[in-house]
Amino acid sequence: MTGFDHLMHGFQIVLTPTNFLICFIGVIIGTLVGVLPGLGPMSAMSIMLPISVKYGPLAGLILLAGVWYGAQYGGSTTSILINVPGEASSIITCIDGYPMAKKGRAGAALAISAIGSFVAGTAGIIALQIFAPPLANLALSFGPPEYFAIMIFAFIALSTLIGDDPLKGAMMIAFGAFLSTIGIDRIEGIQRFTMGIPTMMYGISFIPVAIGTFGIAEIIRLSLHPYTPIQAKSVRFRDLYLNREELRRSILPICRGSLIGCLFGLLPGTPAVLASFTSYTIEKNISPRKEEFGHGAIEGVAGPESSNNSAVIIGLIPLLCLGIPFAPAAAILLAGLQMHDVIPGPMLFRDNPDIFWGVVAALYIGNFLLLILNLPLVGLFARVATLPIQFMAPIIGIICLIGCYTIRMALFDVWVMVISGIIGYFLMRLRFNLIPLIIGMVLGPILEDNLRTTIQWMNKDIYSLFERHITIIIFILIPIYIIFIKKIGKKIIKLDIT
Amino acid sequence: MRNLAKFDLTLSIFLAFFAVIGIFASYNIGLGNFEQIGPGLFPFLACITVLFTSAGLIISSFRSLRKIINSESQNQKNQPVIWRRPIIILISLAVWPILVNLIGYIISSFIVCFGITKAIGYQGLLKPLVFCLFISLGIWLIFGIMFDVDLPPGFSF
Repeated sequence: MTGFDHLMHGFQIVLTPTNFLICFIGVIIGTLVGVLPGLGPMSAMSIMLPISVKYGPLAGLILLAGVWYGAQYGGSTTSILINVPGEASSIITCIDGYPMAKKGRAGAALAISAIGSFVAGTAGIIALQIFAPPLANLALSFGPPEYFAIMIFAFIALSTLIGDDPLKGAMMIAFGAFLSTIGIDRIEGIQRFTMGIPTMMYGISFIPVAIGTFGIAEIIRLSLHPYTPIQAKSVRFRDLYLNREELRRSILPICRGSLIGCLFGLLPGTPAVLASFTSYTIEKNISPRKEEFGHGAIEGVAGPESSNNSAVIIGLIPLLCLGIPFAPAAAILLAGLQMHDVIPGPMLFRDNPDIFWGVVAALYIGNFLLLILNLPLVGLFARVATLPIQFMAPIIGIICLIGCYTIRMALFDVWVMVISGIIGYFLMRLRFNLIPLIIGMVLGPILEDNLRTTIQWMNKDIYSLFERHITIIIFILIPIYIIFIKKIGKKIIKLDIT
Repeated sequence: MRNLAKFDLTLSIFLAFFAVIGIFASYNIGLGNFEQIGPGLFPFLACITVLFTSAGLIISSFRSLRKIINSESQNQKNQPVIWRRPIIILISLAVWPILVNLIGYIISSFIVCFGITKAIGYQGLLKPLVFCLFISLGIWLIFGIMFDVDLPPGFSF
């Protein structure tokens, strides 16, 4: 079967009433999650995880992926109308989106955001479809040394790309990796750091930590200051048009944003955020109208909003092809697949091709649904975003509690969530980014397994390690990457906001 | 900025101390050898990394504290901070795992919802009660009926 045949088969699977409805629900929930500050896609996906188990691996993956990339669409709505980013990757959209709204061009900003997201999302899906199968084939030759090298590279990249201090990032990753060792050792069955507490034998799941640090910490943050009512710029459906000049100026930023997103999507951590920041910086630097940036330049909306969507789609490649989630949200997708005994990675394409091609088809359908839903319903979404904190905080709190409990039906996870929320809030105040902590907890077990196997291989025949060219290339790339980031990367990625 | 550097220093010292304990604990679990890797090796390496990064952060915090000029903090806009609210919210959240097996998820959710609503600043009694009642019913409809999630019913039913 050719790729096209596989894709058509994927559409056949997805275009059943159940799967289509699940796709629709996923993208709607994702958009709502993107609109609401406080409940990010990670918390929402964690809460949906036990629910998604009931519908099988493909439907579960469609639901969770829909929430993830739907949030990218929703986040821009509040950035433009209220100057409050609903999602981290939409922070940059506030800079020019809100000034456009103040000038009466909110409709244009929303329209270009939706169109750019659709185009970039489609580009991302096509890239996923083209590159994932050959990468999976290549990954069949990967062994523990290659996976170990990739994860070390990912950890170093993560600590340098996220936050303002690589030391803090590295500390959080290592701490997260340590937390992942709590419980019973998978190989020898020995208890590690359980302190004699029976519930600790099951280990600390990263999901309650994620829900606590992103959901509960956000509720704490919102509660600390007096509530200020939010006024949203009103937009009617007939205002959602672009003039010829705006459309012409948006074409190239959308194309560049799509490409940037596709490249950054492979990076660990928060690829969508990095992609949107980089896209904005590039558009500002190369634009002949630099003075407009910060005051309503449409390029400042088109580029970043395109890049964050394609980055999220491409973020699925490491998960599906290698079985390594580089983003916390991808880790939740991994957890969802594992609940169905489906192991992502190169074997997925051989043993469960329906899952990959079903997901690709669902991405096409979901992307289209988001385009046709977001524009007519923008007024509704804007009203949702202005709901007072008195309404949203209790709902978010309860959803976090129940969602956390349903992961393993364990109250221990709820306590972990509450404690993580408290610690997470204070760490955020101290400018410790918590994404590396979550990634450390997720990748820690995989890294440990591959480290142990690699050392045992070295014991048997150390010279065979030097024959593993991919491993050597990755380890050579690490210092090159560090030099690049120190000398050139900061200049490219540095955001100049005046 | 000065406070930030102080907090960084405090946290780094705490984590360095934690890492030292972790190193000893991992060593006691057993590092193994090349032929048989012990379960303590990976946490040992993780704690070593935490220790070194903490040490680096301690040094950079000391340097920052020397450079910072006090006048920086005077330009910051003071927003009123209401610490009572998060404390009440956290107590409300803690009520759920304590009571859920006894009184069920619906009533526990009602209590949590009411606690958070009042903590956030919703005035009055009747409106918050009605609001929380609707939320609890909504939770029952969504999780209990629609998604059929197995939550502790307590004596709610």
